[in-house]
Amino acid sequence: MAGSGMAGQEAAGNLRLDFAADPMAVRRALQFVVEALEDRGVAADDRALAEVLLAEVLNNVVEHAYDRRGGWIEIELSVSCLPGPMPGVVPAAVTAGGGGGRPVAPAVAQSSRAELGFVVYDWGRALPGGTLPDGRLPPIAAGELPEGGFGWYLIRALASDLNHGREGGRNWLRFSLVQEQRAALG
Amino acid sequence: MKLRTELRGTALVIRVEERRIDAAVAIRFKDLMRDLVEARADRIILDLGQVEFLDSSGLGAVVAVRKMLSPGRQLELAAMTPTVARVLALTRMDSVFPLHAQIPDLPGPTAHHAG
Repeated sequence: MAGSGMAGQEAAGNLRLDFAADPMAVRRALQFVVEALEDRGVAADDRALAEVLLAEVLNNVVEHAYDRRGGWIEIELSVSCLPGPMPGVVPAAVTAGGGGGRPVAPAVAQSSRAELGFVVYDWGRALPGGTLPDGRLPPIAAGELPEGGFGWYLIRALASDLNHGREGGRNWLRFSLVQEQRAALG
Repeated sequence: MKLRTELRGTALVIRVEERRIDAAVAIRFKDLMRDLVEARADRIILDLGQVEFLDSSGLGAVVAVRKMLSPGRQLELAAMTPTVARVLALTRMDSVFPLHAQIPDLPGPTAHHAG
């Protein structure tokens, strides 16, 4: 992590993390978030979807808000437990990845679905037209396959409660990954 | 970005020896693949068994590789991990590529080199 300029700050279920707006720093930030989710007992399936969702949001900031010229990103993550057991829960050990390492989170959270909320801040360009893209899946025509346009589609598919705004030169995007969405994707 | 190729019969198996195909490596992946797919092989099979994460940039690069192939040649995807399979399904790209849960049965390797 040396020289990455990344700083994390953890409260009970929440996390704040800031990092440079470049693809390698984004990659490290995603790994940091995924490990933090694991420490909080979030199931492997949800961690994977959260990583895809957050990756797409962060890639957009790097590529569009900052036009790949670099900048700074800050994220806030909140994890709150939803009541009730979740069908087909995945045991924590599955993703231990070679064992040893970090202590496993208390098993209590494993039986509940966590609601994961995110806020992403950047100090780059405003969204064109001030609105979030539709995220329609690019058409798949024979011989004319889309190489892009998947990012917002994935965000729209995986996020709920998507909100955004701009205040004092700072963009914010707030969203969560909720149970119904994930059940529908199952 | 490490890619390992193995010519098996008339198929070229390209194993992606990386945990991620994401925005950080998508362009590099595309450039390396451009050279590898020049090989004389009817089938190009991309072994994704080690790839745990694919984002929209990585997916775009995989689609771009498919478009590099001359007509009649196909890019097949094999050994997808759960998250990669999820991204392919969500974006309907699972209907574009022939998919193999595992590397298909092929003749033994006849040559290989690391890329």
